[in-house]
Amino acid sequence: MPDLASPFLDIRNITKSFGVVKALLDVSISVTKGEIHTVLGENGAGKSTLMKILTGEFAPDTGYFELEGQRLRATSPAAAHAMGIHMVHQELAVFENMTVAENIFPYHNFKKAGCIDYHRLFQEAREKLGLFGLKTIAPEAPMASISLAGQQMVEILRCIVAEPKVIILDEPTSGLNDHEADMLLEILRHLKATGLTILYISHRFKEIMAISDRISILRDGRFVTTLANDGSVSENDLINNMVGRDLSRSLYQIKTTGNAKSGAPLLQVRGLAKARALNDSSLDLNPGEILGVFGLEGSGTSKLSRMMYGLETSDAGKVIVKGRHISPLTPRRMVAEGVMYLNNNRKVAGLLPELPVTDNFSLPVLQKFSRFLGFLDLPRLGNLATNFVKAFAIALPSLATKPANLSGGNQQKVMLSICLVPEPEILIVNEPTRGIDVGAKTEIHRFLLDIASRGVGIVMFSSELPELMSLADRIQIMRNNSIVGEVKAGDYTEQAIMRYAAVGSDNLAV
Amino acid sequence: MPLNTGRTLGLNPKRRRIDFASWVILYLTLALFFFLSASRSSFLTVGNIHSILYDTSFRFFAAIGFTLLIIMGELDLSVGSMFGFGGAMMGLFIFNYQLPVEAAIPLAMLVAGLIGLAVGFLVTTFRLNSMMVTIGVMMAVKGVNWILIQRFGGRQLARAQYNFVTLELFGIKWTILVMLVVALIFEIFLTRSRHLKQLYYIGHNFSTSVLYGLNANAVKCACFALSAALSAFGGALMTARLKHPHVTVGANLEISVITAAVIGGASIFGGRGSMIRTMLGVLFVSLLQNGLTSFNINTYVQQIILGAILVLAIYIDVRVNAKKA
Repeated sequence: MPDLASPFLDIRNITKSFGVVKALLDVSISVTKGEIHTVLGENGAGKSTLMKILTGEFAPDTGYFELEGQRLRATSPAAAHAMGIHMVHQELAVFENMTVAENIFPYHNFKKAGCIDYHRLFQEAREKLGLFGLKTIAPEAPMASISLAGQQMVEILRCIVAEPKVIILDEPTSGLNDHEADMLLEILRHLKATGLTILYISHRFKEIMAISDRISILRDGRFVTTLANDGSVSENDLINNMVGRDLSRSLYQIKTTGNAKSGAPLLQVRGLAKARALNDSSLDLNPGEILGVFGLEGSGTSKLSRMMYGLETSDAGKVIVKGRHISPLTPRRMVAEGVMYLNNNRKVAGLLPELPVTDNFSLPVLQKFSRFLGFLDLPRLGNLATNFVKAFAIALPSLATKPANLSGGNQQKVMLSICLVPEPEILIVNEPTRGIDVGAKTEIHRFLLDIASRGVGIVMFSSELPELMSLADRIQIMRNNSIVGEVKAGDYTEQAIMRYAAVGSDNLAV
Repeated sequence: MPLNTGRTLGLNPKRRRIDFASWVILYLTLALFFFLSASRSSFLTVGNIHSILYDTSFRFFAAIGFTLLIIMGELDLSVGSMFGFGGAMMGLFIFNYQLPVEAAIPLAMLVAGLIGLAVGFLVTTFRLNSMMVTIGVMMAVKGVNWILIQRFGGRQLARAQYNFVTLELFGIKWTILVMLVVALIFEIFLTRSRHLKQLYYIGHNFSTSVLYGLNANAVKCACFALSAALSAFGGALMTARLKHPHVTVGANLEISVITAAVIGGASIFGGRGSMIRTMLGVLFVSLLQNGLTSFNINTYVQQIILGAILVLAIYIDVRVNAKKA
């Protein structure tokens, strides 16, 4: 058992905001030498922000951290490396076209007469691989030719050869199967035995329970507690600490009764699937209903939302809108059928930041508002824009304003307006309130409820559970690329949903 | 130069003012015009101005599709070769298949258009970089042109096959009038009609345009086909003017066209561009070449100057229009 008395890495009162969004609020965590310390929290709880502060990618607004009693402030990843803090990111950062050995030693040049001594490079790499029991990986093999799990191990090895004091692993098992994950955990135990301190981030409860010495939980940017994993902690304890907000005091009014209109379903998704991305997923949406879809990171919610709108191809399954099978499934067809999609990242797609607001509103209705030879009905488009700006209380100097010059909340309202301009019957919204302030958030919630009350069906993908609980008539829960359960408004607790999302329906008895 | 020429619907008539910054190409052209008028006695004659405009009218056909594509963020560097291809194909259909010129030119445009469509297919389906694909097409088509023209062995077109190009209306060559009308029509459609207005949306953000139901790939394919077909048309006219197919037809034209489009306010980042301003850009390049020649500056030095202007224009484009990271 590692020595728990003196903190090795001491995170002290760290606060970090991005504009109006508080990502971390006065977070303090103590990590002792030679332990595997898991940091746990929902999406957006602040885990990645905290790790990025440790690795120097972000500077904290206030607070600091100490390593071996020395007060540090990493200003860049290189500075963090110099202090002995290394991180293995969830998205692998490997040199695919170089050999395994070159990936393990990107900084070490074993030189002989000014040239790289490949013999020695491969020899050293073979030794390191042997240390991990990875005798099947040849140091001469091109990185791209080995399995994802192998690449993950090589990337960890790269950190290890730099002889770090602390390594941070961000969801290292997310792309691995059970056997590969077990192998990785075995290696982590081995590293721990050598005295290395490991900060571990994962959503897989089974492996967290199996490997952690202690578990620190973050919720909404705040530190909740640190639990010692000495057999007295259950998965339920973790879940209760991850959720457990005082919802009565929050801005959310929990929806207790579903108000879907019965009748023919507006939208039916049947058996949508894609290898390694989505398993056989089906859902139904009724008019006037808000159907929530919840899942932790990597559970497949985003893939499902994109596939059902035709933004990504699927291997199997079909989408039926108002009884009509949509084939081929493309966004163009979906728009024509009265379906619109609110994208989760307005910086990537969904908004034209450099074009005036009027032009933004016109995009989905170019066809509808054009006459002879495609000439646009400019006065009507102008009126339409004016009406939407009024209806959504978007703070605009003029209709010629570019969204790039607006606040995040107003940008989001413009984006939602674009989706409503064609008067859709079905709206798919993906993280509708991500990264905006509380005021804009409540406004958007009100708009969504209002739209639904007029008979529009909404499928709402969100990683914010309270948001879903206050808006959705039903919530479907995803885990491991599958829909694992469904709950109805007024018929669930936050803990129950989180349990579904974290450990699946089979383990409810835990 | 290419300042703030992003298009808007102009829905707010009260606030709509003439955007002086976006007409830099007009001031440049006028400045060059007055400079040459003042410094060269031979410049400001009806004959010289007419001949500059006549030159411009042929090249402009290679710039139409190019402008539509650059608005969508795609580059077509094969326009020069396609221009030459129009002449070579025209020669092929007339000399080898004894077709009348009325059939030879449309057929040449059709063949070129099909190649353009193939380029569009490669670019949209396999997400190949349009600049690289069209550089390849430029080389390959140039090879075809040279082989064909070598086989023609300097054969001349018959009078009836070329004299249509010199026809005049009100004392002005018809190609000049067509250039003006075509530029105006495209300009109106680019600002007022959904068919061309959508190019700006696609150029500003491809993913967003697809998300909201535009068929961006089909539009791109159509514009690649149009670019090739219209370039071939211009080249066929130019060949008729020279009275025989020649390898110099369309040589280095892509450089003049990209310079013209960029100093005309188009951006290599997409989302910007105007047909009238591209036309002024082509005119500017023609004026410049005419002026440099009148100062007895040889064509190799002219190449250096044109190259430097292109680099300068791209530099300003990047400084003004590069997305703020």
